[in-house]
Amino acid sequence: MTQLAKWIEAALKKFCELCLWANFILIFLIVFQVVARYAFNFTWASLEELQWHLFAFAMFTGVAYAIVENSHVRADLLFAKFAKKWQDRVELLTMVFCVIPFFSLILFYSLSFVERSYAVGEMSSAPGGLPYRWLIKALIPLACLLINFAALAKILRLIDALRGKDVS
Amino acid sequence: MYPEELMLIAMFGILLLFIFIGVRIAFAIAGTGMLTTVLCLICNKYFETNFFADFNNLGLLVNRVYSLMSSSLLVALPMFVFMGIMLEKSGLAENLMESFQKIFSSVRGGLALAVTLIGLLLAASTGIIGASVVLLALMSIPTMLKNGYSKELACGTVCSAGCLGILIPPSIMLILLADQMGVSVGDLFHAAVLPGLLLTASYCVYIFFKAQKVDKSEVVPLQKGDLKKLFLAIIPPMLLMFLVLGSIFFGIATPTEASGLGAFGAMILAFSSKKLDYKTLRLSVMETGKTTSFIMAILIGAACFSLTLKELEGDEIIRENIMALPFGHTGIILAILAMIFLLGFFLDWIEITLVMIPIVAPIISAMALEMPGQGLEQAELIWFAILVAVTLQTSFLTPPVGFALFYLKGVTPKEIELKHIYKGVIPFIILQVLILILIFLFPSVVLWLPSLAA
Amino acid sequence: VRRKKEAAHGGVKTRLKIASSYNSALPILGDSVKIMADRLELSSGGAITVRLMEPQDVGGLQAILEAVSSGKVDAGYGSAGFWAGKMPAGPLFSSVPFGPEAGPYLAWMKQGNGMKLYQQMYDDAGYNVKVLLCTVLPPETSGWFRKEINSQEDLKGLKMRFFGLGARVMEKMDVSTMLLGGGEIYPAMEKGVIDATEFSMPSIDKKIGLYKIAKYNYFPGWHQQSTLLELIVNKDKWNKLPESQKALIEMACNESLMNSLAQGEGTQFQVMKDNVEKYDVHIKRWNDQMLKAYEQAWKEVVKEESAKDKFFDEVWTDLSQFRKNYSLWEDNAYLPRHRK
Ligand code: NA
Ligand code: NA
Repeated sequence: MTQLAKWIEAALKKFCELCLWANFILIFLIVFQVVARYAFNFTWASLEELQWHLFAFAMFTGVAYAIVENSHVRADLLFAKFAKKWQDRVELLTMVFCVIPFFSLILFYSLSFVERSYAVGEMSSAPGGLPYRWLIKALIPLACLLINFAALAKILRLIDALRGKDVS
Repeated sequence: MYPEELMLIAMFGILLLFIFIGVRIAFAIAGTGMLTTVLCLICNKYFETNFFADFNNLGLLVNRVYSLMSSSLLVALPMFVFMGIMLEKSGLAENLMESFQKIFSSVRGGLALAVTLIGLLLAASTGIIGASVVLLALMSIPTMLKNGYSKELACGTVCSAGCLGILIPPSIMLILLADQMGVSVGDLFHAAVLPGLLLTASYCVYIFFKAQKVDKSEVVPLQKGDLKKLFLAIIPPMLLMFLVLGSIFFGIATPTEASGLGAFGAMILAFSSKKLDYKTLRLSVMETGKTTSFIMAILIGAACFSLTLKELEGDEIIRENIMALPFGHTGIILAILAMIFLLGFFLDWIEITLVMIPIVAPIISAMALEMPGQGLEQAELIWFAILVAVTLQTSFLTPPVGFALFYLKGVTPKEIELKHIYKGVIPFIILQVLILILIFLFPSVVLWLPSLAA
Repeated sequence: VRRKKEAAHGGVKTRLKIASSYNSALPILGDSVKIMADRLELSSGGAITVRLMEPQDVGGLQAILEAVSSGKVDAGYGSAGFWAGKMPAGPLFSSVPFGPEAGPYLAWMKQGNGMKLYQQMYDDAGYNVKVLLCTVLPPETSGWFRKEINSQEDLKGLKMRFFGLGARVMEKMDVSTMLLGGGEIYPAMEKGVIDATEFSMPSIDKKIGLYKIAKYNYFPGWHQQSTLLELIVNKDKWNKLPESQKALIEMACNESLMNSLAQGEGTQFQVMKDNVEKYDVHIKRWNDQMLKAYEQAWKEVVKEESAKDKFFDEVWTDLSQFRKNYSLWEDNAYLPRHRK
């Protein structure tokens, strides 16, 4: 199972790292916009919206990425003193009872949320804003899926570890 | 006790338990909200209770998540984080801080004082605690440690300075508070200035005296040749900070614009000092992603917790219990502040404002308190709003569960443990409480400036 | 008699979660739904309890329609103008530039085809909601400026907060507009992100402190001569309610219509007087030439919108026809306004 987990994590990592460059593009977008505004007195509502689109994109894939990379913060006052076995159990509890149900719930409710937006052809209410709101809204279920995969990979690893099959 | 009250206690119990056994913070908060809902539904089914709880309500999470995603304000978060990481990775931050250290070398604790002042600048430009704590930590903690500062003082300085951001105007917390209380934002901005400066001043005084003992760096009188080198190290990054923060402060650029320019500027600085290669860049982008996301995950988790709390009518229960207290006005106000302080252990300031303010603002209004602010409308609410703001700010850096503490923990080197952070913030919390008492006893501290403006 | 008593309000306990588009601390806009909620609880003898949610509770006011339609909350209070991105005709049911005053607007809604078209808009777009009217407001001020505006030239290049279809008109006058929430306006003005703003009536504008930061307050409110606010209820929830509770909610809405109008009309003059006397605000009226320019721009906007959206055209045509018919009555029945 650890092998499967490694495979899932490798795929997630590749994908998420690619997506995270959105933050980098965001820098240039903002700079471009500032220059356009102050130097040429030129504003473009869709660019302003593109900013948070990029932000949302990076932020959400980042949540899954941070699970893979173990970088979500915790209070390790006691945790650091636990035996490895107990640490694994806490981590398993986190993934099974907190992460997967939580993001599955969001996933479930986001489907109709996206569908509604698609059905009415929702677009930005700002003049000159971006169309196709459903696309950015569809990021929510997509990201929840990624997060659940990341959690699943962790669970697979932890089960193996707790059974003593792999202590890597 | 009513079953609802027991359930509320259980809810907070589960969260504390989760956090203490080491469940990752974001998921502990989110999971508690979910599990409490499940628990309520089970009780309704088997024990004839009538808890308000359903999954449809949690379905609102989708909308909350979307509103976080689409917040043009939060776009500044990854930008400030990237700026911090870039300044750190390129060694510019270290150079800057080292130079401060040398320049202030005759002043003990000069480095920590500089951090506090940068924190004050940051505070005036962004209200995002996560961003200011992370930025300050990345820039200053390694250098402070290198210069013999204790881990505690370094952490305490960064945490307290980072939290100033939600109090010092223009702050998004004050805007939301004004919105929720129905008072003028302008009055609230004016009202927060003096308390904010007092707090900063008290931090500085404390750091100055504390640093006499811990600052182990040598006192080296400056040589003439040094000066040029120092200024070369200081001027570019400081210029960047001032440009970024100043442009927000003076309303030339929006926080988002300025943050993007800051990130860009940091990149250019790193490039021109030949510290930027693809590897560093890639690492910085990934680090930015991770840091931003763990902060956002906590905000999403907190939304789940507060939705459950509100569905259980936790706010009403809190209100009823506060109103039933056998104290006078003073007692009730103190009880409300205590409640807000406690909630600050678990929730983000946005959630607390949403849960508490609609129920407590009418209570305060109804008291018809006598206030010194002449000609100022709703002076008592403005005074109360600042009390709330300072209380919230205090609770973010109060152990065991303080958001600023965890943000800091998320970006500091491994050798800094949570206990160092906990110990480090305690003196600052005491200072905060002293200022809070001052405001409580002398409302003029808050009301003087806005009543001048009115 | 006893059976009748037990069956009061269908013998059903209803908990109504209403998400409001305005913070409850805001006068008239925000508190009228709060007053309505209290009245509902009182008059139903406790059969109906209302849980009021602030806009941020549900993820901002834009989220309310979808949340009500999918049953995440039972009801929502706000303006159909907020849904322009989803249904272009929405603003016509909330406020129309150069549109009817409160009386004829309500007449079109309740006696004409207004309510029918209103409901049809939601149905056609696939939203599972029942719509009721529950607030009507007198005219708004048409803006707070930092300088005097005497000609179209003075408007050019301004950045302004503006709501609804009026924003499209301002765009035609070379004003760049954005829509900000009540709390965001003051800081945006203070920092110069915007140069001018409109928000609501003087008593509400006062709450967010506009008189401190812009001293030229312009009238008449050509963009919002009256404003209607709605209560949308999840249709499944509505259909399941006992008839008596439906009637009660409808009555509460109607009462709120009357209260909000009275409160709106009755609380402005004192605030305007204070603005002038205490805070040096200049109360200004648009000159005829400016009003004509606005109206001309508005006509262009209508043409564009009607071409873009068929239902917008249908509603606009119906409303225009009603107003035409109504004018026979209006022109004869009312004293002319400039009589003094
Ligand atoms: Na601030
Ligand atoms: Na705390």
